[in-house]
Amino acid sequence: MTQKSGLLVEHLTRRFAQLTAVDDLSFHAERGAITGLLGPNGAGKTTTMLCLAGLLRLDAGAIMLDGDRLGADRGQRIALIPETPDVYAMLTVWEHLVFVAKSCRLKSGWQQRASELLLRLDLFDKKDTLGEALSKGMRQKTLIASTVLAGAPVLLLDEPMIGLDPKGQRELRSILRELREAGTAIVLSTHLLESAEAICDHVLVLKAGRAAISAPIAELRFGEVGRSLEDVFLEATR
Amino acid sequence: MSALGPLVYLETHMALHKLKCAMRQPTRVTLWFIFFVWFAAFLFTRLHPVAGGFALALPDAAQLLVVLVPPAYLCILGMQIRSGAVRPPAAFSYPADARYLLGSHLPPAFVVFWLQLREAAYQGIRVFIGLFFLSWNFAATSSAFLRVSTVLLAAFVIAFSVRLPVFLAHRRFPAIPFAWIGTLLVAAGVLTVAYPVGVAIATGHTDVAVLASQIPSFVPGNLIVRGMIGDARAALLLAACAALMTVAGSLAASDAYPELWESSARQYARRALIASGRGLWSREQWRAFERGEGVRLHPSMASVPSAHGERAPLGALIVLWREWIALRRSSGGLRWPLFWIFCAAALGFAAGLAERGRPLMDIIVPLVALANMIIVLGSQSTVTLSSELRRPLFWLGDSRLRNRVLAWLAGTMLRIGPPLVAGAMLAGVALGSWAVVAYSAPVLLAGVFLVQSIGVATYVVLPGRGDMRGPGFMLRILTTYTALGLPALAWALVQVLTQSTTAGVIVGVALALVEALALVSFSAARLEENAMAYAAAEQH
Repeated sequence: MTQKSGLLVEHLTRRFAQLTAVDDLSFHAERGAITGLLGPNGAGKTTTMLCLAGLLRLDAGAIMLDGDRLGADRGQRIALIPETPDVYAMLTVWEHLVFVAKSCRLKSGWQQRASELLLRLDLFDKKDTLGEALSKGMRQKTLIASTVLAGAPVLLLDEPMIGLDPKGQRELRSILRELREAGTAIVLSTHLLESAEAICDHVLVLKAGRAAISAPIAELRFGEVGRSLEDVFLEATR
Repeated sequence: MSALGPLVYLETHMALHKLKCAMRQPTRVTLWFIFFVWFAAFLFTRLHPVAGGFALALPDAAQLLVVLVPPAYLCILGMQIRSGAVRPPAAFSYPADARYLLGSHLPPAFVVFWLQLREAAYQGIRVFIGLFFLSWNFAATSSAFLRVSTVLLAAFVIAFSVRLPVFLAHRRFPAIPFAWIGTLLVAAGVLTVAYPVGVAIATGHTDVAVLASQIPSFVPGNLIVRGMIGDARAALLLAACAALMTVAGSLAASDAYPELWESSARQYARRALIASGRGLWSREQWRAFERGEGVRLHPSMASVPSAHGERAPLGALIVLWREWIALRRSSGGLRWPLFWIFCAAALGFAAGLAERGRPLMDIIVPLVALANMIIVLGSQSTVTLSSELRRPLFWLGDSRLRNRVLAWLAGTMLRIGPPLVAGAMLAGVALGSWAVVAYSAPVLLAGVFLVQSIGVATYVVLPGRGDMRGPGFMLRILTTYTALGLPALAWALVQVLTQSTTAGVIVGVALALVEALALVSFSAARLEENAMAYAAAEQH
C-alpha cells in the first residue's frame, strides 16, 4: 500500500440497491492542497463526501490519513460542512463553539480563535443569537466557524458558497487558503467552476460515480491555450 | 467521565433556551403556569381520592386485553428483531448531531448511550402524561399509575433497544437468520391468540373469561402484566433488562455511526415528507424510500388524467374538492377508504349483535369510557397547519379565510367520517334501534367536526409542538369536554321538555355546529395576515 501524507482514498464503492453511486473511486487529497470535487448532479459527489466523513459505510475500499487506515469513527478526523447547514435550534452561535471546544478538548485560548473566526465571518454580533433565528447563510457560517475551530486535519466542504453573501464567500476563500498553508487537506465540492478554478490545486471530476478526470489544475489549463475549467468539465462529462 | 461534560452542556443549554424563549411570551408563560397548577391539582386528587372518587370502567371484554399483552409484546419484539436485522434504530434526534456529535472526540459508545437515554426520557414523559390522564378510566390510584408507567417505559426501552444489538450481531454473524427469527416470533404471537379464538368461534363458546384463560401467559410479556398489577420483582426485572440492553447495545455500537446516521437521516426525510403533506402512500414508494432511493412516484401515479373541473365547486369549496381529488389519487384509489368503511361496518354490526338485549346504560357507559380514551389520546397529538399555510394555492381565491378553513376541516373528515358513521349505523341495525341508525350520522359528524375545530383553535393559541403537548393538551381536553358537554346538555334538556328525541338531536347538533363555526371564525381571525408566523412557530 502506498504511504502518502494526507487523505488517500482507494477503490471507494458505495451502492444503493441497484444504483452504484460511487464506483471504485481512488484519489489522493494532499495536505496543504485544495482538491476540487466536481461533477454533474447525481455524479456521486455528496455520497463520496458522506462516505469520507463516516456518515455512510463503504461497500468496498479504504480511507487512509497519513498512512493510517481510518475506521467508522473517522468523523473525528475528517470534518464535513454539509450542503444543508444544520445547527441546533436551541443553542446560540457561541454555544455551538463552546460545545466544539469541550467535545474536541481544545486547549485554553480557543476563545480568542473563536472570536476571530466570528469577526471574520461577520458573525460576532450574532454570537448570542439562537440557531433557529439564523438565516441559511448565517447557519452556514456557524458551521464553518465550528468546523475550522475543531481543527480537523481533513476538511470536506459540500457546496459551501451556496447561501453565503459575497463578503462571506471571499472570507471563506481566504480561510481555506490559510488552512491550506497550515497543512490541512481540503476537499471542496462545488458547481461554481470559476470559484473552483480560482482556489483549487487539484481537480477530480466525477461522472456516474467514477473519476473522469483527476489532475492538477495547472496541467488542465496548460493542455490547450484558452481553455477554461468549464470547457474541460463539459467535455469530460458529456 | 470527561465525555459527560459536553453532552450535559448541550442538553441543559438547549433546555434553558427553550425555557427562556417561552418566558419571553406572557401568554405561553401563563398557560404553562396554569398547566402545571392543573397537573399538580390532578395529581393531588389522584393521590387522595375524595369519597371514593368517580371512574369510568371499561367493559368486561377489557380482561381480554390483559391476556393479549404477552403475545402482542412477542409480536412487537419480533418486528423489532426483523427491523434490527436490516438497520439500527434512528438514534440521532437532530440533523445537527451529524456535525456536532459525530465530529466530536467523544467516545462513540458513550454518545450512543446518551442518545438512547435521550429517547427514553422523551418517551417516558409521553407515557407518564398519557397514562396519568387515562388513569381516570381505570379508577387507578396514582401509585398504581406510577408503577404502570414505569413498567411500560421499561417495556418500551427494551423494544426500542433490542434493534441495536440485533443489528450489530447480524453484521458480525450474517449467517444467523435474525429476520426469520423475528418472523417466527411474530407468527408465534399471532398463533397464540388465533388458535384459541378460532376454536372458540368454531365451537360457539365465546365467553370472554373462558377465552382469556386459554391464552397462555409467557415471558417477557407476562412480566409487564405482573409488574402492572403490583409484582415489584417483575417490574424490577424489566427495568434491569431495559438498562442492560441499553448499556450492552451502546458498548457494542462503537463503530455503528454510519448506520445509526443513515437510519436517522431516513427518519428526518420521512418526517419532512409527511409534514409537507406528500407522505408515502404506496408500498413501492416506501420500499424505494427505505432503500435510500428517495421518493419516487409510481409511473401510474406520476401521470393521471386531469379532472376537467366542470363540476368543481366555486369559492372556498374548491379546497374540499382538492382534498377529494387527493383522496381519489392516493395509492389504491378509493379502495382503502372503502375497505375501512367495510371494516367499521362489520365491527359495528358485530358489536351491535354482542350487545343486543342489554340495558341501554350497560352499553352507553363503556362507550363513554372508550370515547374518553380516544379524546385523551387524540388530544396528545399535535396539529400542524404549516404545510397548508405555506402553499400559495391556499391563499389564492376571493373566499374568506374562515370559509377556506371550514372547507379544509371538512376535507380532513373525508377519511374518518364515513367509517365512523358506517360502524354506528350498522351497530344500530344489529341492535334493532332505528334511532341509532337515524341519528348516528348527524351526531357523529357534528361531534368529529367540533373536535377537529377545537384542534385548530388550540393551534392558533399555541402552535408550538412542545406547547401542544403541555398547555395545548390541557386546553384541548378542557375545551373538548366543555364544547361536547353543552350540546349534550341541550339535547337532554330539549328531549325532556318536548319528549322528542328528534328535537333533542336537532338542537344538540345545531349547537355543536354553532360552536364549531365560532371556533373556526376565531382561528381564521388569528391566522389572517399572520399565517407564516404560525407556520414558523410550529417548531417550538
